[in-house]
This record gives sequence, structure tokens and C-alpha cells, in this order.
Amino acid sequence: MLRITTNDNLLRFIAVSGLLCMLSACSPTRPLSIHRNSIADLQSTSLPSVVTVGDASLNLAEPESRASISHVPNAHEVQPIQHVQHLQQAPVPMPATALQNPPGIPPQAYTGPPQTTPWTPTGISAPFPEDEYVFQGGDGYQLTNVAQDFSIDNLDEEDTIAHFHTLDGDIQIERTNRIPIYAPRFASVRRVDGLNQYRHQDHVYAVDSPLAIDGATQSQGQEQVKQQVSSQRNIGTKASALYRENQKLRDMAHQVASLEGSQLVKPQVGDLLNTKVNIQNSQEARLSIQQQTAIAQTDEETAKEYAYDLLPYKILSNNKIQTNYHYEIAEGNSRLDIKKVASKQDALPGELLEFTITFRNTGDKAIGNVTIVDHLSRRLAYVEGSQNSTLESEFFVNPTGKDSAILRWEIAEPMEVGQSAQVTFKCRVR
Amino acid sequence: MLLRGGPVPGYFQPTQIRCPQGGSIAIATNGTFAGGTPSVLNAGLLIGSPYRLKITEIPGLPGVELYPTVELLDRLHPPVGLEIRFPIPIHLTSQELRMAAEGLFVTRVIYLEDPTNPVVIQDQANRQRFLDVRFNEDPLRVADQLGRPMAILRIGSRQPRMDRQTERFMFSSPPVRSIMPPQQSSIPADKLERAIISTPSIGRLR
Repeated sequence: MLRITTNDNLLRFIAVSGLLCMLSACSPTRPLSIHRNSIADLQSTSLPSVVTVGDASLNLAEPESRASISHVPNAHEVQPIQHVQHLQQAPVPMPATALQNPPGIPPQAYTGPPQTTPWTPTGISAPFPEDEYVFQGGDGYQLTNVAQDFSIDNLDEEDTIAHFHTLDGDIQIERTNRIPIYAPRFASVRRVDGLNQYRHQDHVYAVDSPLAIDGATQSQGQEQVKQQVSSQRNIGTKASALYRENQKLRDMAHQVASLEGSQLVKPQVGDLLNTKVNIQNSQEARLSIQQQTAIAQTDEETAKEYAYDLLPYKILSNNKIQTNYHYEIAEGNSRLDIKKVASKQDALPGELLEFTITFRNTGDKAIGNVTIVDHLSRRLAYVEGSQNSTLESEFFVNPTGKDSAILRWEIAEPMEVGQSAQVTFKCRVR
Repeated sequence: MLLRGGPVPGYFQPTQIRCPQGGSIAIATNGTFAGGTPSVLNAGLLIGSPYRLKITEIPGLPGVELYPTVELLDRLHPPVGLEIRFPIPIHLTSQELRMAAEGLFVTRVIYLEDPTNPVVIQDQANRQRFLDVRFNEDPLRVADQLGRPMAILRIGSRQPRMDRQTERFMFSSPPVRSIMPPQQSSIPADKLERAIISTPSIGRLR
């Protein structure tokens, strides 16, 4: 009976599924239309002639390309639509004229749309990475200080500053902007391996092995001799039984001794109690003396505080009456606007760079003793005789202990309000 | 190390491989060595994939063929449009090729110098500075202390077997992008400052 019911259900299921299949074949249901449209899109758009692979362009017309993107899909395959969208990205940031078609770039080399700006990690400002750049200008690491005798402290490498005297006699410092110059430089570390070096290592391992064998043959013979001695002790096991009997006797004797001891202890305890009483009596007298002395001391301490006299001093009535005054003295501002630019933003080793430092008195007072100081990076070598200044000045090149140089221009005349000037010099990239 | 410097998969890092004047360089492509280029090979290489090179017509070593390998470890991040102007230089010197032909194995790690602690000498475009380390020192570790390792060059005397192992010898021929030569410097060679290139005195690692 149960089998018949199951067969009926199976027949019903087959009939219903058959009807559904016929309906789906006759009428365009929704999933089927999506399937056809996706394939049609693939075939109508075909494959783009230029495909972005990393930062490169790829010609898919290559017949033997191992890339699956050149495979033309048939009607029984559903291609990932997302993949086709990736292939229709814009072409390459690299100059197309300088690049040729690469053979057989795998599809897994595709990393997304091309980058139009240099990649930088989040949270880090450009330029990135800094080890590919040579910086010049600014006042990094430690802030530069200039003393009254014009001695400069904390002038780090790559720093460029200007300091001047105001009419009040103060020394002010202005910093230039920081210029990044893309100039990576490479070197290498070399190691040469030969057969002689490996032979030397083999000798070391050969010396270690025989020493272990000698140590193993010494101690084992003596341990076997000790086992023979221990077998003789097994004969004396009867003595251990006698020893147990002796222990019982000792226990009995110990119990008796304890009873006797308790009797003897009683008078001793009485003596001890008597002595305690005597001691307590003697201590009471001493304690009473100490209490009296303590009372005397507390009286003295309270008298020393003079709390009533201190209270008036703690009332700071002056603070309530005081008033803060803020004075703004109307004086002229002494300012020097200084900027530094380079002739190029990238350089290979051996190329020349020209730097221009422009400074202008943007305050409302004249300034004097204007001095421009430029600490060159060690990657830059100053070209002798290449400096020029629009104002009369004295120029100095001070070598440092790290094979770099400090350039210094001391402007002879004071700079009036609105007056500007510039100094230029050339450096060779090491 | 490969994760340092941003997304590296799929990026073809421009690389300039130089051999002595008169030599020929070819790189494994599609299971074979394409026609060699004289002295200088500019190519875009993937990071992390070893490439097999073929050096022929070596000056002073007639008939000798060497098959060094190049593996890039990191990439550069130049401003947009300057990728080809600043390739990673890899130089094969006559001395190293001669040592490899005699049975020695030369490992050279090319690194990007730390600009805050550079060696104060004038570099030349046709010569790459190198620092020799002893056989018990790791050149990759030393290069990591001096800067950022960019590539590993290995030169030996192993010859390929033309059988089913050939594809393995060529590391399955990773994809290569051929690049036109970079723009030459506008400064003539005779104007470049000449300096004595010597091995810098940098402390050895123990």
C-alpha cells in the first residue's frame, strides 16, 4: 500500500515537471531571456581590440594566446558579465608609442583600471615613497636657530632658510618650501660563490661525528656492575621485618614518655604564669610613664601650629583684586617671503639642476643683514661658479663633514619694503 | 617584501638590462629565446616572476652562452609618464660573465639607495656600483640594510637541456613587455662629470 502511494507521487511529479519544461520551452520566461541576452551581449560587443592589462595594452588578435579572454563563448556557456566589463576599460597611462604588444599576457595579470595618478597608501601624503626622491628646501627634522652672533644651530641637510635683522634688533628666520625631485639611484650587493667554499664546510662536519662515538662507550660498563651489588641486598629482606618490630616498641615507649611529660609540665606552667604576672606588673609602670610623656608631646605640637595666626595669611585677597591687562603695541611687521624652485622635478644621475631662491620684503619695515643659507643634500653637488645674485652679496661655500656643502649669501644692503631679489645656482645630481 | 609599495601584481616594471658592449641579450618568451638585442635590453617585467636571459657573443668569451636569471622584488613609483625614463638598471659586467663561465656563481642584489644616507660619489650611467660581500653573508640582507632591494640577478654556467625540462628551465616564460629605449639624457657624455668609482667602505655584517 505504501509503495503504490509513492509511485503515484512520483508520477505526479514527473508529469508536473514535464509540463513546466514544455511551458518554459514555448514561452520566454525571465531566466531564459537573461541567459540569451548575456550571450548576445558578449557576442555583439565581441572583444575589444585593446585590453588593459595592468598598465599595458594587449592585442587580443594573437591566435595562440593562452589567455582565456580570447576564447569566443558558445551558446552553452555563461560568461561572467563582470569580467567583460573589466575588459572594456580605458587604455593605458604609459605612452602607447613606446609600448609594443606583449605576447601571451595571462588574464590574472589584470589588476583593474589604469592609474592616472601615482599610487599612494591611505594616510600617507605624496610624494610616495620618499626613498625615490631627493628633497631640497624647508626646515625639516630640527628647527633652525640663529643666535645674535649669526651662528646657526640645527641646520639639517636639505634645509634652506633666510634670517634677517629687524629694526628692533631681533633676528627672524624664514623657511622656504620643500621641493621633491624624483631621482632614484641604484647600487648593488654582489656575492661570488665557488666550489672551494663548500669544501671548507664539509671538513667542519666531518670532525664532529667521531667525537660522539667515543663518549658513548665509556659509562655503560660501570652501570652493569652496580646491578650485581643490588642483587645481594635482596637477601637481606628478612631484616626489614625485624626492623618493623623495633618500631612498634619505640611507639609504645613514646606514649609512656608523653604521659610522664604531661605531669612534669604542670608545675612548669605554673612557674611561667607567675613570671608573667611579675612581668606585667613591671611593664605597667613603664607604660604609665610613656603615656605621660606622650601627653606632654601632644600639647607642645598643638601649641606650635598657631592655626588662628595662619588663617589670615591663607586668604589671598590680592588675587581677587588683581586684573590682567593685555597690551597690543602697534608696531610694524618685518616679514620676508622666500620661495625656492627647481628647474626640473626629476633627474638622472649626472644631470644638472638649477635652483632659484626668490625672497621679498613683504613687511612694512626695512630689514637688514639678510642672509640666505642652503644646506645641500649629499645627492647634489654644487657646480663651482654657477651662483648668481640680483643684489650685491657675498657668497660662501662651506663644506660639511658629510661631503655636502652649505651655500650662504649675505646681502650687503638692507632691503626696503616691497623690494625683492633672487639667487640662483646649479647642482649636479650624484 | 612584495606587499611593500602598493599593488604590484600585474604591473610591468620597466627594467634595463645591460651587458658588455658587443654582447647580445635575449629573454625567454613563449618557451624560446627571441632574437637578442645588442648590449641593452629594455623590457617590462612582472614582480616576483623569475626570468631567464640568454647572453651570447660575449666579448672575450667566443662561443660561450650564459643563461642568467632576473627576479624583480619591488617596483618604482615614478610620476605618471616617467615610468620608462626611470627603469631599474641591471648590469652584467665582463668580470662577472667571465667568472660565471669559469664555474662560479654570481649573485647580485640591486637595491634602491637610501637618499638620506647615500654614498657620496658620482654615478655613471654605464656602470653600476657594487659592494662585494663574503660567502657567508646574505647579499639580500645587506642590500635591505643599505636601501630597498629591487631585483636579484643570478649568473651561473648552467646550460639548458632541450627536452621536457626546458620549460622549467625558463620558468614557464612569464609575460614580458618590450619597451622602447628610454629617453637619453640631453647632456652629452663628455659633459658629465667623471669620477673615480670605487667600492664604498661600508661595514661588513657579521
